[in-house]
Amino acid sequence: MIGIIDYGAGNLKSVQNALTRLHASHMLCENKEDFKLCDRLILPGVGAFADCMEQLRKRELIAPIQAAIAAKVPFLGICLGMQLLFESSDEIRHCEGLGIFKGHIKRMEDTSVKIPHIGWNELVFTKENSLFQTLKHPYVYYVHSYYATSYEEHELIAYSIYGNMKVPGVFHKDHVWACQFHPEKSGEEGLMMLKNFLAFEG
Amino acid sequence: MHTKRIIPCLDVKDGKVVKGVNFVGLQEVGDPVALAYEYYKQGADELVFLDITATHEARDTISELCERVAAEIFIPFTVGGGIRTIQDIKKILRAGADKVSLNSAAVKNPELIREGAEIFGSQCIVAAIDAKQRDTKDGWNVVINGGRIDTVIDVLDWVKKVQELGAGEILLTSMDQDGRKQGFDLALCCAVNQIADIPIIASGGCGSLTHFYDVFAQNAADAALAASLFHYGELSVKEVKDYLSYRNIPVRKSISCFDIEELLSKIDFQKQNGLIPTIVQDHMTKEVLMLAYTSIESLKITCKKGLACYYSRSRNELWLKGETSGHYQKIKEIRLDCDHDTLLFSVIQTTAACHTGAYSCFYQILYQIEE
Repeated sequence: MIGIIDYGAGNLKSVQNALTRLHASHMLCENKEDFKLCDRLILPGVGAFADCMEQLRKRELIAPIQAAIAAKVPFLGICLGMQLLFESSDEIRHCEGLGIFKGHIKRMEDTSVKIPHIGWNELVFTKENSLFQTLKHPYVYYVHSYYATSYEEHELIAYSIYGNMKVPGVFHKDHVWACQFHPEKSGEEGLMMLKNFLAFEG
Repeated sequence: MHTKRIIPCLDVKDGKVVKGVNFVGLQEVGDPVALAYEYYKQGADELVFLDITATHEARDTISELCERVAAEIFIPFTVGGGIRTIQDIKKILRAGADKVSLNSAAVKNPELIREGAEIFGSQCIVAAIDAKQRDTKDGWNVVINGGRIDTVIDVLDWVKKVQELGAGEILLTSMDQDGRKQGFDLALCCAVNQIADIPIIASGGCGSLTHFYDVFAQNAADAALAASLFHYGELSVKEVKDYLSYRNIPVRKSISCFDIEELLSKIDFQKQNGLIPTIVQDHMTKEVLMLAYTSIESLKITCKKGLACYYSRSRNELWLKGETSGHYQKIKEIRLDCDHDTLLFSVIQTTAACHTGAYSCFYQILYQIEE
């Protein structure tokens, strides 16, 4: 059972639809009891970092997320769900994150391009990874104004180039993956990444 | 590399796709979900649905449409038309749309953009601006209600305003060019793009491959939208992208993530001892060319080579059609029938399908009823 962590923000429907299309049974995880039913977790997210952390705290979801990650449950963060896995963010106000990955979320700054970074960008792999099986040069759909900085270089497995910036695309550590783009909105290639995540055996 | 987006637009009325010329004289074209799926397969980067349903009662059809689209199509899509309140926005997003576009309602009530962006995020608020050149030719005014009302608001002023309010993108339609197929309004798009910090989707007037090229080559937009061009099959999204790519405009190449095992698993090979009757049809004319038999092995070769391969029952061997005659069949599409035991190959036939030299094997008329 795949758990989609529901903290009241964002559009969960597209992740649900993608999992349905991949014939994976899924449910919304709204409290710590729900987590017990899931052997794989997805943290989606749209919105502002601080608001989402606040929602996770209010709904008492932080401890179950950390426990699941400690228990080696395969975990995927998407977009803001990726950013929340980092140590901290500057969006609106300084805010601590879940701290699974080392690094800090900062506003993208590059006068040569428009911010937010919206649209399809080529994903460049820096490492072979089970998430990328059967994929060669996928294009993926991004929508964001903030990105990860000061991260561990070896945890970055794919990036995109936007203006003069190297935009971190995917991080990986043990059984945790985190994508800045939206695999559930990145066509058949995005679905393939989700499928590969679902196929991961710890 | 960040890419330029190609966005087919579907005008929807009472759940059906229509496209008008200058918004007058609407003509029915087809089922929105089927059409949307076709564009998805062709490599569309996004889709826009404009709901032009007049009556309020019929507007629930658009939510149902969103749900159906979201279940089948895994690229972003925007819904616009008749969205007036935060409740309307919520309903459309809840049904699975990624963005809403706000047009007349935002002009009448700019706070709708601000509130929408605050509640749902800028990324899902698209400001749709319909622009018409002033009679004095010194700029453009914002027009609303399908172009019937001139608001006398300057387009560039309004662009700055919607950005401040928190819009995430601008869908810019030239009412002077819309439906004319003479090309995008490059002067308008350039003027707007120069002052915009958020992406611009150019709309109105696209009629050919070069029009797409021009709007990107002149750095007039981040995305280009077209409707009738795609609906009537004059161009496919893939053709547009192949052309742009050839002319060095960066576009997303959709590499189909094709899983042969998944495809094979859908076909009932058991029912007919491992051989599946396969109807072969001309992709363009739809003429039936021949009937042959497909085995698991032959289908693997067909998919790998992109050329039709069958199982010959007379020779008991795999038969790559055209290998000896040169009359290859290039595969455009493979379909499966309702009970999973018959295939339809849609092909581009080289020379002729029949060994007699006839284009179709079915050249003999056995029985005919005169009208």
